[in-house]
Amino acid sequence: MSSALDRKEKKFQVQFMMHIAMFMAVLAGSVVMNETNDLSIISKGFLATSPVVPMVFMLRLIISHYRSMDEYIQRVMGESLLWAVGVVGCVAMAYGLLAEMVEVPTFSPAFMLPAIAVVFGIAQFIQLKDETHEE
Amino acid sequence: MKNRLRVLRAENGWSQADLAERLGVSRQAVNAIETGKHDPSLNLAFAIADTFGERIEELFLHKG
Repeated sequence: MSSALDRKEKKFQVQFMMHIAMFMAVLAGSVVMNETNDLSIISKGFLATSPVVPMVFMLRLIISHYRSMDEYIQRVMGESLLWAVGVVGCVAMAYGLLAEMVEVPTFSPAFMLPAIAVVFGIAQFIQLKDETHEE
Repeated sequence: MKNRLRVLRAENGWSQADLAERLGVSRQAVNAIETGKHDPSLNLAFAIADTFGERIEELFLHKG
């Protein structure tokens, strides 16, 4: 990767980690506040959904990073996202259909986004694995 | 689409990273274009041609 892109990538990684830290802080804060206070339903609802706010900021950061990437990396990221959404969507649909007929453990929909992120990372790794070394 | 990118790069003694730096793209993008995995946009194709001082049709050959 060229040095300008390398600097951009490092800056993105730092900002990304800051957003993750912000998410963890808000999540921890909301759990602690919920367990230590007797709150109204509205306050509980606000607290429960508050970790989504840093995730929205993270989404903005990722979209901004995507726009700064070159056309090939954009293509790889786009295809990886399609794989991630497709695989997680199909698995979720299969599990949902299975749950209609068989007794299966329930999973929180909160795990959908992390699952998409993991499959996205794997898909991106697979697509770029042949291009790690210069030919 | 075939191209003479690797040959011209070798003639200039540039690595993929050197060419990527000049074009402002990732090394992976240069590699993908060289290996035919990715056809560059018109903008990038012109930038590549300018970098080598070649005409775009002398650099990229349509297979037909």
